[in-house]
Amino acid sequence: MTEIPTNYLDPRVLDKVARLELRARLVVEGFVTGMHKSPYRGFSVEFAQHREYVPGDDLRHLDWKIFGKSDRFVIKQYEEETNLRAHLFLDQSESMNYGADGTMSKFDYAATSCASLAFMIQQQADAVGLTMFDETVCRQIPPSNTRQSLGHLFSALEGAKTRDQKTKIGTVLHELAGQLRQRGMVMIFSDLFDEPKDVIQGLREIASRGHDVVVFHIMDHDELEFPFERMTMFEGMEQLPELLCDPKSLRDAYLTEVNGFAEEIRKGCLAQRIDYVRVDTQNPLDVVLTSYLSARTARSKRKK
Amino acid sequence: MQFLNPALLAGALLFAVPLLIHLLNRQRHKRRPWAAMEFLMRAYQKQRNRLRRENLLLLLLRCLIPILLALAIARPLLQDAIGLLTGGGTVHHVFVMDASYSMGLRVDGSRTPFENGRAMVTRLLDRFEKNPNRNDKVTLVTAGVRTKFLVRGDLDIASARAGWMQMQKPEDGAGDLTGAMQQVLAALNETNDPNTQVYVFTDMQTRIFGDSLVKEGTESGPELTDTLRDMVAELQNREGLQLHWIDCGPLATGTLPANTGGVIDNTQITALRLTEPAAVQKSPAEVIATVKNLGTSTASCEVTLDIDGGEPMRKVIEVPAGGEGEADFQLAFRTPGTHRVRAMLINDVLAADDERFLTVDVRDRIRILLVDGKAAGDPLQSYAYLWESMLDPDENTLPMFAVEVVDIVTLLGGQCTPKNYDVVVLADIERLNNRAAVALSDALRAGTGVLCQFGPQCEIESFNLHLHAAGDGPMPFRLLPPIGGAPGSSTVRSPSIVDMEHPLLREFEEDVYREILQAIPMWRWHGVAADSLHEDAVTAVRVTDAEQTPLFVSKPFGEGQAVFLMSPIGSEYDADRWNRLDDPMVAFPLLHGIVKWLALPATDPFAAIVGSELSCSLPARPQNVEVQRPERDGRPRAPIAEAARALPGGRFALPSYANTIFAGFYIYDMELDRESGKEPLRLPFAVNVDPVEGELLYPSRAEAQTALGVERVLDALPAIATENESNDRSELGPSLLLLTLLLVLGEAALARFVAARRS
Repeated sequence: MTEIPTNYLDPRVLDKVARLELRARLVVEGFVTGMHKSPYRGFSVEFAQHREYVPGDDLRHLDWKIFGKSDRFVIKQYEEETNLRAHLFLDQSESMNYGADGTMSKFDYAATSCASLAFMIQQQADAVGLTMFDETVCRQIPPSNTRQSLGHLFSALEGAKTRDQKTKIGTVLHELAGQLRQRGMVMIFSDLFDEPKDVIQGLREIASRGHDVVVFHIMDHDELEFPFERMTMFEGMEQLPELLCDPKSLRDAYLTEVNGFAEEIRKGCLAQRIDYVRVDTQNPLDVVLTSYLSARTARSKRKK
Repeated sequence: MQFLNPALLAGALLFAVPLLIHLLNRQRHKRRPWAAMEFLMRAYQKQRNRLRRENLLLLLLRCLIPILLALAIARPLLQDAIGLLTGGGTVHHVFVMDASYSMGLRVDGSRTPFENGRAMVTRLLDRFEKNPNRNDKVTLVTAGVRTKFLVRGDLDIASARAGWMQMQKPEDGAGDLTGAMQQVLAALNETNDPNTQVYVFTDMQTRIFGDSLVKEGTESGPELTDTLRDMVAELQNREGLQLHWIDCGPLATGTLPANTGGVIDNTQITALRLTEPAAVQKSPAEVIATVKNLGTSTASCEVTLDIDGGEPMRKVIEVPAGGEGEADFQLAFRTPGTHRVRAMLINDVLAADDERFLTVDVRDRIRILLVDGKAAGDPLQSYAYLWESMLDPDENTLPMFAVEVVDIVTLLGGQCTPKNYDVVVLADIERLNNRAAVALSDALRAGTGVLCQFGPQCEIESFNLHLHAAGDGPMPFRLLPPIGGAPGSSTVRSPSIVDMEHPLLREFEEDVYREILQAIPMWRWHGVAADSLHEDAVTAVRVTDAEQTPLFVSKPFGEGQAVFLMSPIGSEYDADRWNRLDDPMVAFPLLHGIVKWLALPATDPFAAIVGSELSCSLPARPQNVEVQRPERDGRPRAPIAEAARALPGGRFALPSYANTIFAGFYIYDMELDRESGKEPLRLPFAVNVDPVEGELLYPSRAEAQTALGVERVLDALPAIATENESNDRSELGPSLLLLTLLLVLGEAALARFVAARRS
């Protein structure tokens, strides 16, 4: 059996997350097998209802008894007990490598979040997969609920490093949308440094295929506050140029740009019924996940 | 621009501090990788222009503050600042100062015209220096011995003033104001100044007007060109030029009435001379000072005379108005060498022409080399007998002459050196050779006099070949064979004086001697080719024959004189005499006159007029030459770096000195580089004033204005030069200080505003 790396699994964080019940809002009922009923009417052992046959339905599911009694073609539908298929998308472009002095980089923060969630999902015997990308998809681990698969996932996270590539999340999401055949939950961890409309388009494509999408917008505290005082030479990542400036004089304008960008993404997500979570890497990881999951659980209960 | 504390202007350099801080701040930045660069770049592009404006404005304010503060504490003056802003006040001031010696007139201890003019110029320069408008220029011209531009279009008033302050007194020259104005006009034509003020300071002496002044009996002056009036008219017609003619002479001070003009009495020494051509030590000599009275009444003049600065002799003479008188001083020079003689008038209004200077070359003897053509025969019939008996006949007096007699062989053999003698006499020698001719020419160039008597023994071709030398030699004619009758025959002629003023005949001033000379019988003489007579030759006496044959002919050659006698003065014991010039009544004055005149050089380079160039020829190359200038000059000794120029005959030209602007003795000290070693030599040159400038005659103001063609001749500075003199400056310091304070407040407010926006 593969030894599970535990350096991402901060016990304090996982302790808090494990005591929460993760519930899907629309499609996925729950992470843990047996605790959730799938809203999807599938073809399992427990009958749910009949419906009228429409051309194209599988003839194996015709209820011949009803046909015999009433001369109507009716299809039998069953309540399906489903497992959650969670897809974790992790951005490993160069910009994710940024981290304020003495703090965790955005990438490390995002990877830790991925590991925590993957562990928790696996604890519920649900399937979890991992996709790492920058300009293109770099590595994929298909969803699985085995511990071996989880070990692969942890190894992949542990061995991953940011690459000197730009973020092209719109293109990548478009590519991944075509690959995700079964509906599930997609959690994206990225700083989303791409054109907002491309990002939103990519998210829309995934959401339109029935996936429950959660966007964790990972931002460093410096990027959100721009707290610098002295004359600074900013060396652009992702092949962008340098700029020598007085940060104080640009702070307002910069924050306007950043907040405008985040707001545009947030509105795009809201329009697609996508959860948008803005994460400040200065905040403790457990607090962020707990807050989100609590809020999501509350939302889900209100709907019921 | 003028400042009361100009040194504090250096504080303006502090403007560099904000710049340095800015640059250092840019250097001391921190490098930081940045992920959200696109947002930062977009923010920067949107804010760039505004940030630049704010930063530039702040930097300008911060740089301006120390500059303004430095200006404020340096305390600039208002008019200068206005001039700086408007470019106004660009004026070219041209001062022309008459520096002739008549400007030194001092009546009853009052200020001289030169001092009056100088005070006015200094006052103007002081004002310009304290209040210099931008681009104001000054030109200072003095019309003295020569026209001199002390300063030419100088923008630096202080240096112009320093140049002017060197001119403490007028020069001893007779000024040429017309020439000076010509040069000023030429100088102004080279410039393009829109506003020129020309100030002419002069004593308005009649002499300066020249031909411009209206002559008596005429209504206007002559229409000549290049007169002072023409210069004035040309200057006045020049656009943007104002000419101010300022009288600082006796009419301006009230010494003479301005409506009539007049004369100020002045006496002057116009000449100082020895009565004898040559001076010999311990022999009696007479020095005469000629005194001229340029006044309107008889003057009693006390004349003093001193030799080499010794105890002066005094003489009082009466000189009639407009006339001349002579003060004669009997003296004897005790030692040989060059002596300095100075005559001076006491108590006169014009000092420059009250002194006269003379250098006298005193010899121990007049050394004569007599080449006797009859040295080999009977001594009583020799030429030496006559010369020795005639030159120093009185055994009781000190001998004045030293005669050395040699025969022709000594001369032709080169055993004697003619240039070591004052006079060389060739007495009826047969011929010359090349060596002797060269020696004679060199002696003449060195100043030795040569007397050549042609007699029966002379070989004509030899003399024509060597002495005439086709016109290049000292003999100014071609000699022809003897003409006339046999000695003692009835065919007799006599001398005829042609030029009584000739120095040869100076002893024949009295009529009786002239008549005796012209009664002397002449039987034979050498002819002269009339067409060959050189233009520089002077015939003093002729023979009364049909050809009017020259008897005495002289010609300068080099620094010496050559005299040719066509019939020799022989011994009374010679039966074959061609004439009776040996008669003591003729021979004595004739030989004395010839020898004393020939003993002097042809020209006297040691007597010069102020402004002349001093030089002479020397027997060896001079080294370490220095000139000691007269006391009136007041300047120290002047070394002369120029090398001596070689002259023909192995002589050298003394390096010249031209800056003789004051009268007196200019004494050259040098070392002669002889074969025997260095020989120190001291040569005094006597430099005297031109007496014409001493005529203190002044026209009336109206006559002067008419002569110049100007509306007014002023007595003082024009109003344009003095108006607003006290109100033309005010200090800008407090205003600048207030402005600086406002700028500091403005900078603080702007910095606070910017900081608030950025925080």
